[in-house]
Amino acid sequence: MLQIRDLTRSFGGLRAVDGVSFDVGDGQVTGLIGPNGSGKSTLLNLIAGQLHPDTGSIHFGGQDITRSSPDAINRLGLARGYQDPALFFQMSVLDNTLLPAREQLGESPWHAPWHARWRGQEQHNAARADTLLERLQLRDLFDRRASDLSGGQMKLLDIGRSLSGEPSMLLLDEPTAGVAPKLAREIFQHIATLNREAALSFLIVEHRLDILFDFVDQVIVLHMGKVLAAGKPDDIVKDVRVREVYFGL
Amino acid sequence: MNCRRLIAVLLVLSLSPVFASGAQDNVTLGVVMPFTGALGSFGSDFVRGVELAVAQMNAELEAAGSATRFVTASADTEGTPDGSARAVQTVVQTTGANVIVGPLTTSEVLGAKQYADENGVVLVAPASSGPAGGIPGDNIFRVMYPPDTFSAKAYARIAVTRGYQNVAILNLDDPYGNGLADRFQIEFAAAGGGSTTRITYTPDPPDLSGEIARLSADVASLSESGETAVLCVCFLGDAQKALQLALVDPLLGTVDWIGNEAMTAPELLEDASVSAFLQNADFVTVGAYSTETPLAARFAESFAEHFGNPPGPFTNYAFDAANIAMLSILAAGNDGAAVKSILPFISGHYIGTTVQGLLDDNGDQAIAWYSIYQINADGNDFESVGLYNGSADSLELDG
Amino acid sequence: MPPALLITSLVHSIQVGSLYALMALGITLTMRVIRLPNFAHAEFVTTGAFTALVVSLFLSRSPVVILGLATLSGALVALSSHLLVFRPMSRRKLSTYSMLLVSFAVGLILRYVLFVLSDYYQLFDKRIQIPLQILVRESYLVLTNITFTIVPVSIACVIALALLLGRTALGREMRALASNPELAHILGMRVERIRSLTWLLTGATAGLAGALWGLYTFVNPLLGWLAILPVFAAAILGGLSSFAGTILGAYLVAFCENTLMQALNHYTGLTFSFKAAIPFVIIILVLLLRPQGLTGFVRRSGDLER
Repeated sequence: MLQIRDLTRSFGGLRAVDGVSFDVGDGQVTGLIGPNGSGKSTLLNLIAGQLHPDTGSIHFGGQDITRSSPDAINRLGLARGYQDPALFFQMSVLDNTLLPAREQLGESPWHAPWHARWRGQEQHNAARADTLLERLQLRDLFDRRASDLSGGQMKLLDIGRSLSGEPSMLLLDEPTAGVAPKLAREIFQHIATLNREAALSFLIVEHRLDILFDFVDQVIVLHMGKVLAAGKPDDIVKDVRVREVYFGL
Repeated sequence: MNCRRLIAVLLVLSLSPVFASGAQDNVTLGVVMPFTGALGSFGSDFVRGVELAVAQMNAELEAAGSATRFVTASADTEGTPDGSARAVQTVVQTTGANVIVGPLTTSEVLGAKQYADENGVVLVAPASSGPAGGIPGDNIFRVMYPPDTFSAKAYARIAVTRGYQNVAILNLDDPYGNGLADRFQIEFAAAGGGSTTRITYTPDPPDLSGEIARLSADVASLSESGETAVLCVCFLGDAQKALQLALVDPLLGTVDWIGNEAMTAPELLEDASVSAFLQNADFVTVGAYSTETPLAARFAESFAEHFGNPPGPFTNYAFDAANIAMLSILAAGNDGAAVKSILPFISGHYIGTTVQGLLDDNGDQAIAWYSIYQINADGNDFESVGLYNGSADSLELDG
Repeated sequence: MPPALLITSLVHSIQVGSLYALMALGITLTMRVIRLPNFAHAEFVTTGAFTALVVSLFLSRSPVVILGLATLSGALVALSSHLLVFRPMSRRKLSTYSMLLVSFAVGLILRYVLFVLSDYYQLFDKRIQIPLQILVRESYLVLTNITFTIVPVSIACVIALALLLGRTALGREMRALASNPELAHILGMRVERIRSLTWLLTGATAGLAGALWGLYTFVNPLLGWLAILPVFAAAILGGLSSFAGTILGAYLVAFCENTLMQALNHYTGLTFSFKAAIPFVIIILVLLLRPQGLTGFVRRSGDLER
């Protein structure tokens, strides 16, 4: 699904990402961990197209997206969530979920004035958004403004918004940051459900390793811009080098 | 071209007339007029009137072997008092002009007055008539076009002669409008008239509906104590707006209307319903008397020859003002104080395109004739129906 | 206050308020979606008025044709200003203040082009050639065909705009662009197209408002500029963001300018020259006491709120 090869990106003299290579398979949930400043955020930005690498390549679903723009990447089905939820805060929960839907007839100025032309599609999209919100337990809040939600609900809505574009893979940046432990686990349970039911792949940057390790298929450990280790959660926990730099043992 | 080089070239270009002057003795005659704003087209025509006078004078000076030549330097007043002060200052500081023809309206004249008085610059205004500009001893001369103290009397005489007991006034809130309305109230009372009411409006209003509604209410209350008329002191565009609203008012169509000179315009009658309304209202206006001296025809002819189109209204006054200014400079030298001293004498002995330029103690035109106008039988233009002699306060109506 | 004054001034409040609402909505739309306090809006309005005048003089006297072509001209002028000036300028990442000045400059240029043209073709202070007819005359209440054109057309247009913005996917994307342009871009919305459409819509409403305003009074190059102050007052009352607030603000400003002014004149003798100051007073009071405008009093999900 996602192949990353020899990715390098420098800022001035600092090599934030230094020769990183790994794969995310179809329907896999991959955790990306590492201490602060290890290059996780830069890596996400490179994949999502907000930054472009100095060298190396990124392929998604067989297509080279190394130098694609964020919206092109998003259209290909690789959506990104943010650490600080990126929402249309002035708009309702439902509007936020409806926005990313593709090929909406009502967005064309020729069709927009004729309600009959897009009513069917709008109802279909609304029904889908409804299912999605139901799944994320946001359905009762559909007419609230996004800015009125709690922190955890905003995170869920951010995921929901990313999902409504029907992506095949989601990049998530610390989905549980600033969320109570109980809700954090719930968020990951939602992720697991989505992975199972909708065959979605995930690449998740996360600090809460205790929760993360329960839900991922593979873990990549970054250290000073390089991949320190990669493998199944159980192997990583046992890896000596990881324990040294990460757990400080 | 880079910016600095552009500035250098512009500087050189602007200096070139100084070097080109050669053996001639150039005297700059300043011209300040509104070139932009609602009165912009007036200003452009007035400047042509001045330029024609200067060209004719230079030709005569050359033929007579004189070394003196007049050149003009003009600036835009933007039609505002501030802009007028700036324009006068610009002309004086950049060209050293001591005598300026202009500005146009009384508010522009008053805006430039302080600078002119303090710097010994003489302003020769060809069309300002607001009573507020009638100040003795200042550096402003208002030639050819009589001040509204005379026309106010004309309105009062018409009102009394027609038997109006009361008058509801709608006037422009500027020195011209307020001056004329103030004087009218005084003269109307002095001539035995009854009550008056006043509504003032800001020039160039987006909408006059409030004012017209109030005018209607004033007419309603005045009518209780006798026959009432409306006196409208407005610019043409404002008058059109006012009349459009008056058309649908239940009361304003039932009384007579009197209008100022700006309303003596056939454009006002283009709209058939407005024309019918005004005919029904026995509409009468007072305008400058259209006498012409033999000079007027020559002026119009030369103007058309020079510029390819006939002169606009009042352009002849600018022509006359420029001649008075130049004659004064030739008589006393290009010096503000000297011109100020001799100008009344020169003007009093100058007969221009319309009348003799005799001035009063305020430095304002003292000979005042007005025509009284009404709408013609076809309802598409105005025709003169009488004459008012301001100096003698006598009104003669035809028929 | 005499009933004649009260009734006439109320009729004018409604009439002028509808026009203000139509103009202010355009300003609110550009303010939110494009993030530009657009002073050139005044000249989009004037352009519409002049188009209506020229059409009525030389082409057709059908109100539908006149209003239609005026709407089109406003839309085209707005779109061209966007493509020729505002878009290249905003690519230089100018601050809002610089963009505001740019909009002043665009307005100034348009205004003086109209001045030159109307001077050359003698179009100063002409009326759009739709003859005035009195349709209702009940003692003090006088309603003309102009009232019956201005008010329904403005209100219909305002409702249509509100529906477009609140109910359609296009409106949703406009609101999304207003709310978070970066995210809208990443989500792959056709941001440039939405911007252009917003300009078209703003221009169209401005052009229509200009034609209607021209029907109400006379057409001259200052028409839009003289009306822009009360219109901005209305938009500021709406917090420069809320649709419902802006509409309410428009009628409130018109009410102050007409009925309140009439009452002040009647009871205190304040002259009508102070009418021009009313929008200033409203703007200052709102900015001092309630900078968010009327939002909070009126809040709907379809609004472009903060």
